[in-house]
Amino acid sequence: MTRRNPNEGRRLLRVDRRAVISSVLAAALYTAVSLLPNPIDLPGLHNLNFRPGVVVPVLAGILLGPIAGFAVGAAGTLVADGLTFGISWNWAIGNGLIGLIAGLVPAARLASRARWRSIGVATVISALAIILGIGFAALTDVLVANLTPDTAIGVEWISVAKWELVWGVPLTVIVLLARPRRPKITG
Amino acid sequence: MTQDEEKLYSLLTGEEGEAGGVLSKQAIAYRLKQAGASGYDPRPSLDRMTTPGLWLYGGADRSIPADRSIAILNALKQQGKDFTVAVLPGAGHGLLNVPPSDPRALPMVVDWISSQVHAPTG
Repeated sequence: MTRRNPNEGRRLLRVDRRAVISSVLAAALYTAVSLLPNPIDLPGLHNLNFRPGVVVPVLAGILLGPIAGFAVGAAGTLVADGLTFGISWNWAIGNGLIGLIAGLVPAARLASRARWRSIGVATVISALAIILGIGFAALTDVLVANLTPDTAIGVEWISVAKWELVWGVPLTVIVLLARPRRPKITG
Repeated sequence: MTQDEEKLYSLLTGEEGEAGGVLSKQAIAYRLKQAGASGYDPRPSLDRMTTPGLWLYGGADRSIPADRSIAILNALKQQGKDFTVAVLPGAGHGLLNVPPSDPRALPMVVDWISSQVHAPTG
């Protein structure tokens, strides 16, 4: 049985210089990926949506904590949208929530004990983060875009969350598996 | 563009249903991008088309995003399709309705058909 480190929660909420620099880089990466054209827009594959970018705020949350996760998701969306379609604040907050909720995974435990269990927890929480973050964006469109709840749920929430789950969850697992394990400190 | 994108567009513009109609063109385009393509996609059928085609759009169409449809048609034209594309600024979706959203639409259709029927053959 593993014991929870009492400092874990505090460490997750701590925003140090490394976390700030990493968050800025991650937000820039998220912006860049959001601006990429769909490279699989080929005959017969038009309905295959390309959404790997969602893994960036998810991983930022898991690895850097919920505050950094929120900042990466929200800032990356704001910059990308500001450069293209104009800012939709509720979608920026929704993408921020993806990082924030994913950040509730106790990151400090990922690199050490019970690796598979940690990755399993991260995967489930990442999926929940995507569902809830996109859900926030879609449901607030009832107010922002004057949509009916049926449309917000059926046409926005399910459509967007479906593809973000398809890309985000496997990529999260792959990156966490590929991430080098932290050496055990003994003595 | 796909059937579901078209449906979302008309819901967001307020053309279909009893809501929508408050977002800018850019904000609607953003939500279309977010939702992505799904449902029936006519592009494979357009790819296979061998006949000439006339595509008329209303610039103020609230049922389909004319600019996105035109971009797809222009891409097909570059691949050699014999498509003629025209936009009637300010016109809505019902170009051939009674009354039409733009009275210039029907004469344009007739002229185009005439040009195709009487085209010199060699």
